[in-house]
Amino acid sequence: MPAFTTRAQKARRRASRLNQDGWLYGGLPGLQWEVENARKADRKVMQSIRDDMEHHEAFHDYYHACINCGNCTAVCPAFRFADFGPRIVVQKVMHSRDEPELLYQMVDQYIWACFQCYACWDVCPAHNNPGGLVAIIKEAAVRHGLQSTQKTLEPYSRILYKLATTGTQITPDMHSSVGLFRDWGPHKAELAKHLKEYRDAVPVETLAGVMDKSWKVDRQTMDELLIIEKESGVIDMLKSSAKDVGDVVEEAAAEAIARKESHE
Amino acid sequence: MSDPVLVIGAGPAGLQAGADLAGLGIPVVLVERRSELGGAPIRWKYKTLAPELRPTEEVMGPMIAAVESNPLVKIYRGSVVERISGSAGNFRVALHTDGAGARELAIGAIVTATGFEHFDASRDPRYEYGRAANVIGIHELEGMLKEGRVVCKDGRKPKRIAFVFCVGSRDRATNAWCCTVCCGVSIKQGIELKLLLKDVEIYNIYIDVRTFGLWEQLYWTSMEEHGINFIRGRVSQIFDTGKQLLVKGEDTLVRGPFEVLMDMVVLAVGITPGEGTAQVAEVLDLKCNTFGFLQPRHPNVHYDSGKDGIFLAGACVAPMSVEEAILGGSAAAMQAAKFVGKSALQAAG
Amino acid sequence: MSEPHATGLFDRAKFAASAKLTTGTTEEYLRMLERMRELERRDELLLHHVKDSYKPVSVHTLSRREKRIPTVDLWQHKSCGQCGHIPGYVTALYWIMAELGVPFVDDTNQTSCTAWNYYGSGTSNPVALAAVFARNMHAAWQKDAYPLIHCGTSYGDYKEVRYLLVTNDELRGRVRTILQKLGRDLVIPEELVHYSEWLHVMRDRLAARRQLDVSKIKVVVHSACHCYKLMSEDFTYDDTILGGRRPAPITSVALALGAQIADYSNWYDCCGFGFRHILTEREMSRSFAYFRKIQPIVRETQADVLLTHDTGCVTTLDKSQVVPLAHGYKETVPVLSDAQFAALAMGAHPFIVCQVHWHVSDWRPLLEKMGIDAEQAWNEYREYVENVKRGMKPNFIQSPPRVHA
Repeated sequence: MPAFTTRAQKARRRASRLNQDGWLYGGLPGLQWEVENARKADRKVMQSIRDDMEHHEAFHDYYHACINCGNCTAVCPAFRFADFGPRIVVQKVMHSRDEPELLYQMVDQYIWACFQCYACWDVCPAHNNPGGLVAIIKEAAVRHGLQSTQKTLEPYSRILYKLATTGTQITPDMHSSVGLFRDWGPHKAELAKHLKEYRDAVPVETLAGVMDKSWKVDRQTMDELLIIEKESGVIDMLKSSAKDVGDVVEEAAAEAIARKESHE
Repeated sequence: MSDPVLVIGAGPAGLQAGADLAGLGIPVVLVERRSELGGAPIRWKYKTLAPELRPTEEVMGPMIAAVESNPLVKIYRGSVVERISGSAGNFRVALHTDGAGARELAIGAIVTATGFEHFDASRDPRYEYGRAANVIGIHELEGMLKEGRVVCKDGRKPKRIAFVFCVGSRDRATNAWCCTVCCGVSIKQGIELKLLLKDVEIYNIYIDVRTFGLWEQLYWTSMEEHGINFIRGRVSQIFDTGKQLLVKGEDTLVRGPFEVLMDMVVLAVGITPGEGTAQVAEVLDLKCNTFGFLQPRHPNVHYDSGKDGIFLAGACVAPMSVEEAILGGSAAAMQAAKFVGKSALQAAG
Repeated sequence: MSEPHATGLFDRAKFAASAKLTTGTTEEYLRMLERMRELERRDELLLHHVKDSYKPVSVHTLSRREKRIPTVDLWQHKSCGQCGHIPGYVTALYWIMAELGVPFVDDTNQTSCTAWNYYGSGTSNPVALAAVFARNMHAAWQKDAYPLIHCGTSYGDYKEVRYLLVTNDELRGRVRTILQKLGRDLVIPEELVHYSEWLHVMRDRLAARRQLDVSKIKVVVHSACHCYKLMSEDFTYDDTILGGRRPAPITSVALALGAQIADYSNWYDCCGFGFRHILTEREMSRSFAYFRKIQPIVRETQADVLLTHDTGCVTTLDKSQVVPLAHGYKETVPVLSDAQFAALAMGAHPFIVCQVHWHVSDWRPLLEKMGIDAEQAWNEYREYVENVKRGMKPNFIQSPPRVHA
């Protein structure tokens, strides 16, 4: 067995990097493993994600021509600390009309770097909204229940559940365990010790003593949120990308609908 | 003698039109809003003209002399056209002159050559124009180059100067169009700075380099003979540290951020139709396009305003170079001459 | 105006040309406002007007459009993050309103805007976001109180969905159907008002009740991305504040109270919140917040306090200082909301009302410089807490009586 690569092997490897048109994939940058994954992925899913993006209500407000000026990337916070650039996002959206694979290259990790700050929208001379396009692609990834999306959202599931059921997001009881926000400092432990008494003492009536929600919320209000989530398809999205949470929320929504109907 | 042709604006386009018409024996009324003739090259004291860096006087001197010395040209400085009535061939034009009041003239045809204004960069707060001491525009730099003195506000010689391309151009928030010339002009100025300040570093921060046609030689010369640097990426912000200017952007070719300190920043401020053009459009009831420039009947035929007896020339129609404005002035003069010739024949026969 | 469905870049160009999108977002936004009024005229939606009974004050937006800010009878649109873990932020705002005799409604009939989740995880969609928005706005309308939005992200999200509701007929139809199931009508507020804009128009009245001398306090300001970069047309700008080049709120309040304002090179940068990052990828948030905001701020200005006007910004800028300090970096600055700072200057209790003990970055030097005896205040707070434990009811901040119910 030769210990070196033969010329034939090298040539074959080179040829395998050509796409259907016979062009070498060199062009637009991306994380190497994402590019590889995209090459192997299901074409139907790729096209479906592209269609999902194009049919989004806000796509045509967010997407115009891009002259590659770089203003967006210059102001992007994620660009400083991650391999991410809003200019690349717009360029790939633009070229994905003919090559949906380019869009797919971003769904695993690339788009999740975005801080959704919209500085890119503010400075773009063509009024593109790269951050908005990223949000649209995130929606599409969630709807398609991609494995990478599920993994990305896994550490987030507790918060998803809290939000979907109570309509509030960061709640006092999340601070009673030190673990979740350990890196916010040793004072967190102090806070955790006295949490209940501090919350009891808040001089605002809708906040005092409330631990499991951000503020006191009416039962009916929470029901309304669950009904909105059911009717607008959010629960289906949850079931795609965070199945456990989605199932529980669906049950909660069914109960909410039953309560509503019994009132009518 | 036929009624004179009114030429509004005494920049390169208007001067050429006036000289050509007078040269054909047609009387001309030349109206200029400012007190001096010459338009932008004189107002902003252009030292040289792109692409070959020939002194501005070589072109502007003869053009101004041609109208000043020709008895067929009546010049009204410090004047604006306030009102017109009548019809083509038989206009009545009301002029107002600073310090001399109003007068009415019989006019046969009109050439509109009201030129342009530079974009007021204080409208774009990212660049600190009008606030930071050493952020200037290309128009202001020309005057400094002409005087042979380019220094920072505190008197010291700048060691690092950045040109920011496309300020108030190609931007839907300010002006969506390209101003045509500021790439070439910026590079020209960079070369002149290198000649003036021996050890200065020049950085041209661009999106595209649009040195059109034969101006392309500027681009190559600037790098080969003068060592001027080019960074690709539109500047997103300038911050005044008090001592220097921090210029931020993305280098899109290298794909990294840049934040560089400069002693002076020159903004390549774009070309806008200006108040003169807007005022004349209203008075003459001329159409303007969505960008505010005068709209000819056909976009590729500049001199035809679509209105009988009124012709367009120069940068009031679209951003352009001095040489193109001169051509435009000549073309409009020819059309005006044809028109008054025909009118004279009709009147006679 | 149901947009024709365009299928690619070149079709989009045709659509853009006919929609006259040559000047972009501001023009579109202003046109959306016109269309909003047109829809009201056609009875296709109800507009919650900023009527005279709300005693509005006019400000200018980025495009110099006149925006009316209601000053009384406000419906507090609460922020989940604020109420959840910066309780002093919202308490300070209520305290200021009570001090100024401004009636308000604190409704339990409010859901979170759900936008933090949307921007973080993408598990929502425009229909849901718009329906939540409309639902909350209807609740405010029912109480005849004008919605005052506490969070920058809620404000930004609501700008977006209001735009979609007005310009997209299909989406509006779907939202209306959902609202009908909830027994609600479609109500849209005439203006979207962020609470820091309210503080801005009230700043002179705040200053009139100032008790502490803050003239030696050096303030740096951070403005929330979603307030002024997301649909930039709508936020308040003032020619007399920062030359009208940057948003007026926060800065104007600090100046009115007599504090000094310092500038720094990264004013326009995001805080680094990231929505998802601050929860599940915190190294990125805190790296950005510390090295691009906190460190330059301290090195360039040596400020006494960093003021901002959004839940996420307070959270990120405050909490991100812990780990770098543990690693031996030196730069640190306390972070407060404009409401807490104003309340402190007006004499509010630092712990009972402003609850600064929930903040991490060291606020002790700031309180000292403001002339507040932190130790005594803390003892007062401990006593208060013990009393509450023993069954005393907290001294709830009440809304002053409304003139009309």
